[in-house]
Amino acid sequence: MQREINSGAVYVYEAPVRIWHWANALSITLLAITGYLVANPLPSLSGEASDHFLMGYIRFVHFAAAYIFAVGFLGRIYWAMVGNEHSRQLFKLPVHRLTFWRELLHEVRWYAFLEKEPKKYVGHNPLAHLFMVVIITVGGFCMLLTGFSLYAEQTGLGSWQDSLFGWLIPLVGQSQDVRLWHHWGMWVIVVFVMLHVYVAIREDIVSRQSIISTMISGWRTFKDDRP
Amino acid sequence: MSVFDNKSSESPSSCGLAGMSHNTLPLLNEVSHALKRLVRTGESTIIDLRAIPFGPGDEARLINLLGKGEVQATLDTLGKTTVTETRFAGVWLVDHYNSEDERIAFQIEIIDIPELLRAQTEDMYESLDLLGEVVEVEKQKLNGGSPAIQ
Amino acid sequence: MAEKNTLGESLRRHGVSRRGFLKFCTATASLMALPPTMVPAIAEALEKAKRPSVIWLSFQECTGCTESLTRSHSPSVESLIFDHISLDYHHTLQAAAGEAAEAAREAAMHENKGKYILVVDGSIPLGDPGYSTIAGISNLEMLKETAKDAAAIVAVGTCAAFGGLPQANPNPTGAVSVSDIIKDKPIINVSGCPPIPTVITGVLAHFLTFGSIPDLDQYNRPKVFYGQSIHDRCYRRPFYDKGKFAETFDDEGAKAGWCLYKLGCKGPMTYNACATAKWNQGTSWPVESGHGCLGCSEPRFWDAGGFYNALSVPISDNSQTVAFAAAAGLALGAAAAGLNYKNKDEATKAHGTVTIDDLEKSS
Repeated sequence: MQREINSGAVYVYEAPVRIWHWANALSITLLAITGYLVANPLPSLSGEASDHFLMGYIRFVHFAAAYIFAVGFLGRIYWAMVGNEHSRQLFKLPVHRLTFWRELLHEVRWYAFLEKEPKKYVGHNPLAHLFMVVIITVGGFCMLLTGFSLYAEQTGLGSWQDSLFGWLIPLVGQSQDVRLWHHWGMWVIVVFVMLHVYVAIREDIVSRQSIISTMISGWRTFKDDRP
Repeated sequence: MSVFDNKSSESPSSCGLAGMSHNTLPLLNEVSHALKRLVRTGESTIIDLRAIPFGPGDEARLINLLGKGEVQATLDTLGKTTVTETRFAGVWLVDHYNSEDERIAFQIEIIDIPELLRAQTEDMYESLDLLGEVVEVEKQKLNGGSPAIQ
Repeated sequence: MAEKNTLGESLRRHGVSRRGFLKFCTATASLMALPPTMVPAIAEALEKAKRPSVIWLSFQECTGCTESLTRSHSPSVESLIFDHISLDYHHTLQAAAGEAAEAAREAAMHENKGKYILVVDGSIPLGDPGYSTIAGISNLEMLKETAKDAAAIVAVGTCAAFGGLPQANPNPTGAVSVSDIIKDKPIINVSGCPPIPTVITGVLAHFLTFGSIPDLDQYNRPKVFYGQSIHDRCYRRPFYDKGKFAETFDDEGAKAGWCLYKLGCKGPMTYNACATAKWNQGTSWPVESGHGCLGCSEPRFWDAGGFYNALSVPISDNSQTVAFAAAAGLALGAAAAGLNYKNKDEATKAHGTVTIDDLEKSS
């Protein structure tokens, strides 16, 4: 992906991609928090039972955020088909290219402060690219599969959730295994989010290109004219 | 006291099982809707109480709330069955027992008269024949002759 | 042996009136968990129904399923055997023993070829056929032989349906379920440890009434009984939604009848009719008596972690994995830091000193 970039800015992230990014950020935050509370409920509230609907609200937020995440995921797939070249980056990984692996290693070394200078990328750098595909595309898909198959348990047999996702539970073995995978997925995504935020801020400061502002304006700018 | 308990304590027959009455209110609502349907369209409803997830005391509470009306009937077929009109006309409790006196079904019927109390058409035809025979026998007795002669 | 005349005829011969028949149909609908609107259809079907021959095979089991069946109250096991079905082989309940018993099984199989129902409780050992035999015939052999001409198979209990206790880790006998062996017959799984008695009789009543197998879920369990989770039918469910949980078995929450989720209730992942059908003639059921659901009607429930751990607690012990991952992360970090240190050293060594004179010279 490395190019000869001399000057000027490149329009990378189109508006739908940016909206998706921030909607995803919000829904993943809500999903992680409410999901954790569904698994580990808060201590019982005092007072009359009829005054409260706490678990009901927590679950409602979880399911509402899950639908936003799911619709966003489908919308993002659609945009990969009709959007610009960069919108497809999340759905393909150039594993067959040696340069990808070489630059990946270079990026790892750069992240570990073992390289003096980073390379410039219009889209994601190879390391970010790999993680985006594995965590957001594949990981998000797994969370949707496991999540909706668990959701099908309450919508009941014959519901569309059950007909589309219900097969997963017998395939994995039983419902508790699916819960475990869904739970593990949450922690993987939480760790990813921590790395993502750290790296985004870090690279915004020390790399040779814009990072955070790009996800707001869509334009990638570069700090120098060297290749 | 919860909101719901306040409501139900207005009724004369509340048995005060605080906090345990979660499936009585929805069921009462269902009965009320069914009665509305019966009055407006004539459509009857049967609710199988064995398919309702009752908590402890819910069933007793419900029966208490429904109360007793004017009609009570007992059928003796394949064990005992009691049909009780509740204090709400058109709402019946039908309780089926087998010959060992174990409950085999328990239903609320929202209908003008439970199907089981009605004489069955086939039985009425059979009764017609039977009654004819009885009339014939009585006639013979009155004439003093034996039916075999005629 | 199965009677050739229909159930309607048989009941009328016993002096049962049409009202009685209607009552019988109402009870049957209730038993099969079908809506009361189905009663006319049931009456019509029952009128023509024939008593099916039933062969009951017990393999690696604890007889708990049979114990459960004999506690069925509507219909009672007596009326089930005498009025509804023809139980031709059941080695715990039958009077015949030894060769006579096996002869009864073979005769029933022969006479009702293709029409009898095979009920199986217990799992089948594949490790060594000698682990469990009846009259010198291995379980596997007997199952295959008896299943060949059965109209349908009812796998009663979690052992027959999913492998159950014998299959639990480490599964010393190589136990498998009926559906792992028989692939070409309709199989109804009536899971539970044991299953609810009226559910066992309800499934048999369905076959008797309609001559077909009921609608099944993804684990081949009848939807009418296993269609909803314990959690969704639980009378304590409102407490879950309100966030009211018993934290220990003797706290205020437990006394007030709050949700048992935190005490390990497996209700949300368990499908069974306990919340409505209940146990011991409708007296109570585990959650009503204050203990969480064990999830006994689900596959591999013995290996699904502790009975008193909340659903969200991982099944396996992950502490080792986490410790290993932490150690690996630490090692990588140290290696990177070491490399950095070396780089820094080299950079320091390569660093030339610049004096003010130098700078003045160059400018």
